[in-house]
Amino acid sequence: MTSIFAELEVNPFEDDVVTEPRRVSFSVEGLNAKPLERLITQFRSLTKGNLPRQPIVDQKAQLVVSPDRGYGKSHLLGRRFQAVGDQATLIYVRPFQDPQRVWTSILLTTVQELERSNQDGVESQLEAFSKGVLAHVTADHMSDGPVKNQPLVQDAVKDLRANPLTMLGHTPKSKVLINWMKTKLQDQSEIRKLASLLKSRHVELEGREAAWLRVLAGYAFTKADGQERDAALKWLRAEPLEEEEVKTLKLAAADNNARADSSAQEINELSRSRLKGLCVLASYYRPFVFCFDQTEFYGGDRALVDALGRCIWDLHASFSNHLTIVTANATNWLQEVLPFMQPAYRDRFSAEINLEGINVDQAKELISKRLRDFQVDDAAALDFMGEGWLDAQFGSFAQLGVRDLLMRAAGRFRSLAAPSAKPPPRTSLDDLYAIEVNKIRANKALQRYSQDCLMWFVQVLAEGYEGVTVNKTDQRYFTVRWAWPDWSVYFAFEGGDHNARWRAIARDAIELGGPSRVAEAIVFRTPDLNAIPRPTWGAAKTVIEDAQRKGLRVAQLAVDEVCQLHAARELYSNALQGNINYVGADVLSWLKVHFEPWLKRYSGPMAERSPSVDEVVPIRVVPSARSRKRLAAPAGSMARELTKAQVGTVVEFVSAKKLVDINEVLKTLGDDSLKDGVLRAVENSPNLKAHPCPQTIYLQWRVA
Amino acid sequence: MAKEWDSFKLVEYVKAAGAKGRTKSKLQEKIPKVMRSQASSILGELKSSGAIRGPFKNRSDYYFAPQFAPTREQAEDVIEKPLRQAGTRLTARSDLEKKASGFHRTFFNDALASLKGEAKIVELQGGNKTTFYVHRDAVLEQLRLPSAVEPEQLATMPVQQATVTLDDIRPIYNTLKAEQGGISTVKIYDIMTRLGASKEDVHRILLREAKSGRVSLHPASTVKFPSDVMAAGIRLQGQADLLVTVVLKEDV
Repeated sequence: MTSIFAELEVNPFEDDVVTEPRRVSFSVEGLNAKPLERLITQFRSLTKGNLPRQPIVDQKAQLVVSPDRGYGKSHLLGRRFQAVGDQATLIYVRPFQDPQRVWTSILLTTVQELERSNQDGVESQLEAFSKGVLAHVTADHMSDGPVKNQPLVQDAVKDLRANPLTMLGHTPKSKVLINWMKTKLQDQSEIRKLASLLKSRHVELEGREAAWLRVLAGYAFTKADGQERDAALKWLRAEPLEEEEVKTLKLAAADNNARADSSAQEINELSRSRLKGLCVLASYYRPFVFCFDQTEFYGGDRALVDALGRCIWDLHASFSNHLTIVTANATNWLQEVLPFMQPAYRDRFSAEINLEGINVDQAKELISKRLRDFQVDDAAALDFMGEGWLDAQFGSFAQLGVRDLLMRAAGRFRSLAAPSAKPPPRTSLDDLYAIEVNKIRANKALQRYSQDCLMWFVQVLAEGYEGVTVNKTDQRYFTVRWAWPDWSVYFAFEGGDHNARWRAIARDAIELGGPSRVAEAIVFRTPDLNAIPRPTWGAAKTVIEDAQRKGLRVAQLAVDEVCQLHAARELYSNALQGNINYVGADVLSWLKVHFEPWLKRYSGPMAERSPSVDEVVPIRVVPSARSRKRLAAPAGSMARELTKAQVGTVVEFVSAKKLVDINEVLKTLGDDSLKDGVLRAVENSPNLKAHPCPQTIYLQWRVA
Repeated sequence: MAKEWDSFKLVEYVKAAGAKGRTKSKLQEKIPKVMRSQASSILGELKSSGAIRGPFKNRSDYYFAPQFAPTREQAEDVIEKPLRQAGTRLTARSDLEKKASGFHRTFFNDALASLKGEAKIVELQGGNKTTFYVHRDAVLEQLRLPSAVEPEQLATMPVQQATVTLDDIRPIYNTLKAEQGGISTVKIYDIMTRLGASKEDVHRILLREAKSGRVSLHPASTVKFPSDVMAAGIRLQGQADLLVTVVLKEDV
């Protein structure tokens, strides 16, 4: 038995934290079945009756409580995603960082989540959502028209309502229908009619009904890398549009209501309005499910707790067609959240949904499955749990926390694989961090622009560095300042690429620096964003370049840097959640030391920095402005998608080896630079799974 | 007659047998002929409602009223008692197995594992692959260690009249739960303080009930409690974390 385990390169039980609920692929029969059932029942109240439905409000946030860490909060969200994935629009919300910009953060997350793939074959959740809404609006329109009694029209209405995604798919019939819809959306009198149909169903969109329909059509009926899609996404993210983008979407000038010179508060307010619009439109299609996970993150900060409470209160009071789920560890919730939350906010949470531990029979199932995934046969699995080992783990208890069980099983595995080896020391923070970086690297969705993570870096990681005072400012864009007696660095968080806003940012940066250059102003950019300044800009480019000479830095992060930064916040969050064997303060201290080169790089004046300290961020020009292509080949990396043949080679190689180091796969492909491409192929294959380890990533073959 | 027949009669019949239990065939005989084909589902329903327990194998399948059903705890007693009496003399596994006769045999492996897990007995390997057992008390005595009462032992100590019961704890627990907004994870310290009971008494009943699954005990891995709250926690041998909170199951 020992030799079987000794041969395995990966401990099957070490993967004991769910970072990505969407990746949950296995659940033990009966474990936390009641909590799941409660969530599903609550969700069903949003899907009663035929579409379109009246907007449904007054849904309290469902509070999922774990008695301690490791009872499966995030796993439950994953099961929830699986159970209703084709009936809901699923949004997984990581902790926000700025209490003043909660809606900006949630909207950005929402749009990023909307762009993620959908369970029913269409490309993204947003494509399903927009086609679903437009199909039902069109059906309403047809049912209201002069030929509504024609059998052909009645059939079309029926089909649109029953199969909106097929009807607006890629068939010749769909093309005719889509063109017909596009014509209606371009006709002023028709669009007025459509808007009034929305209102007749109590779908109120603050007078922007026509804009919403055109934006959704701009996304639904265009190519994945088209300009219209880019513009539609910007509008949804409450970013201002350039004139040509307004034209592309055929919007009225007034519908471009995100102003270039908006303050953070105004952007937050508009973000709230967009999110509310998405929710009310869900009357026509799938309700939203917002999952607020990792709430332990808010615990240390009263302002964040208050913001969370206010956000949940607002969602309950003003947003329709959604189910909000909030997960928490009981003791954190009781000690660090609830005491600082206003009673009015507390009342917006449901009675707790309590998670349960795993029992002996369920433990057997889980351990067997984990071992089977690694080609360990049933007899060896029985031996693994035999000789009273499993019963002894339960000892005096009927149940154990799932992670506790997995940790004990990991220990058992180690002792069987290497019986004479001493128990390993606690995993070092270096290794835990390296694993986290590899996890982010293996998941492209986790590499996208996150203002929360950047804010966390400049606010939390910088605290205490070289006598710095970190404070918030009342500036319009540069809202965080690192201050020393004679020097300051300001930070703005802008993910958009509107030239007027960037001109304003540039002007503010010059002003902050002053004639004697006592400050610098930094704006971070990540590879998934358009490069600044855009190649097509004229006057704005001149203003920005002038500002760059006077202290503005557009700090372009490479993919590796994004992975490092996001991994840092995730590691800290893991400590706060009790997912790793370190407390938050220790992790933070370690991260502050680890990120010292970063702090050094961004704290001094540009001119004083040696190239080794700062690679000086030349303005990167991404050749294509198309978002999809950008995502495929982010700036600052050599990431390339694999060809079909290469994907075939990867699948064949891993299926033969069952478990293999990614470096071996790269050798087989004959190109070390294809690492990210291989990881993307793994993400897209149901048979492949990545196991991030500190030094490398193992790829595993699984029977889907 | 079939229409008037109530499965409750079957429960009464099982109850009347006490610790002897009733065989499946005896119970089938008590079911009216017209309904006998549904015997399995009737027994299944009674079992899932908790009115009877079983089947326990001992040549035939036996059913018991819940209060008379054999348990793992009984099997543990059957194993632990002779080991304690044996002192430092080693007892072979086969000898222990002989003592666990009848229904206790069903629970033998579980009981042995549980006793080992709680460190109440120690397993030793002989040269000829024979497994021996010795009670911890004998080992502690030999090592001249004080035989302090461990929390795990508290759970198995006989309940005396003055000690706390779960019925004493439940109303206090419910009040505390309501006070903290309906969150069911309650600090052991709070229960102890409100109840005015000794730590040992509270620990004893909580550990006993944790065994049966009526309560679950938890560490607080992600917050720092004051020292008095921690001091009220339960420390299990071989485990780093103190168990400081408790959840009482509503439906058990």
